[in-house]
Amino acid sequence: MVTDPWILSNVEWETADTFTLCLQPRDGMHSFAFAPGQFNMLYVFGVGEVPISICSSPSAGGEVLHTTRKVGTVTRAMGSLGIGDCIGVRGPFGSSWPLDEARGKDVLIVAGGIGLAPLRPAIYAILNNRSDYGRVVLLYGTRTQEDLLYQEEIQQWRSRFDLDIYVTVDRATGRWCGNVGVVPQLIQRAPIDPHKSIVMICGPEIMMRYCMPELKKRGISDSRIYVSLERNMKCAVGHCGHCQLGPEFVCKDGPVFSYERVAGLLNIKEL
Amino acid sequence: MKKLLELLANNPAFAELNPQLRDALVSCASECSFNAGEVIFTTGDPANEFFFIDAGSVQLTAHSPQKGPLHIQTLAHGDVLGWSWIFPPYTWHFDATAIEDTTAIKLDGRCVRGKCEQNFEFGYQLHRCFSQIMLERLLATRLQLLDLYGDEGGGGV
Repeated sequence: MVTDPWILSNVEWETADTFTLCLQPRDGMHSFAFAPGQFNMLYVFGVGEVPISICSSPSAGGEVLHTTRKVGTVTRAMGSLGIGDCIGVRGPFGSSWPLDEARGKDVLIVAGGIGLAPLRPAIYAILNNRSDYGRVVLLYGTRTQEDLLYQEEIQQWRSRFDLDIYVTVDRATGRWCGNVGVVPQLIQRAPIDPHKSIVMICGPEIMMRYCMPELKKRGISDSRIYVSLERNMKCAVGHCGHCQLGPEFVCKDGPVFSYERVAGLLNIKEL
Repeated sequence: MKKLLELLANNPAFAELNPQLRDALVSCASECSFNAGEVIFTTGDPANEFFFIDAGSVQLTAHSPQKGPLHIQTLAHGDVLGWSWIFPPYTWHFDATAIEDTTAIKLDGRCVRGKCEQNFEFGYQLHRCFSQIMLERLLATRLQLLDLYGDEGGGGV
């Protein structure tokens, strides 16, 4: 629950409005363990605190990375911080992607927009133990090519022979010659065995909702689909109730849920 | 035409088409291929066929005098290309161009329309299949219009 002061060691701008903060513990010696899918509460002193997913490799020591977009007061303030500035860090919090359950199975990773960030540690973990998994497929959609995150890294992943990547954009701009269309349409193309697959999805909730019928058409049951949800998290430990979704606290019970567990809650507008 | 039967069986929209109706469709089919960059059809031209894409990919574009071709959608293995052959005036609404070397099964639209007129059961079933495809394309278009990844769009914590 206590905020530790960390130092901003680098800021990488991924797109015009999205950036990755590289943070190091101020004492430099502090070890930080987390599971893919978990998040930290990042505090810009004097401005406010927000939940941001960790997007670095769980096995890489040293810097801890968080990718976020300038959408509110706190993230705008984060975007104007400089190297050497201090940020408060609480965490890690929440549940993680089902990497153990996915062992021996095909893994379908579906990301939309900035939703790729919480999935990136899972991709690192899978690639670090590649032989433990079957086919691994990443479907990634963004608004335009200018909004693609981690472009160099995606190019590197594409050069591997053990990871299938399909990228799509909603609108073709500039010299884009890749796929145009929405992410749910890519699901039918994913070369996985639907009967032995685990699916991990993160993106806007509407996108996730429209992925579900496509996954059902492939014969993938709700119990093998995992989603990462976004709600108004404040305390991050299930006390304040701001992120409550029916009987679930997204900060404590999530953000990663089995779709089977939350399917009935996502269509209730009052929640 | 084993390839077409395979594509029909694997396409969720056509999976429930009964074997006799599938055979009727096969009798209007032929194989075709397009080189990368080859124009498959052009806006305003007569639409007398449709395609099941087997391999490769095709881009649907609309032409703007100011911006040139605007890429609307990409179609690939298993997708159906073209529905303008169903409705009068039977002319294409968009341009289609092969992005890479592409193989497809071409269905003769006049042949299929004739069978629909002769056999209403066939016509009903086939229109159900195409309605499903149109519904999926309409949903996808609405998702694109929603601008999901904009400022209001989420995507994880």
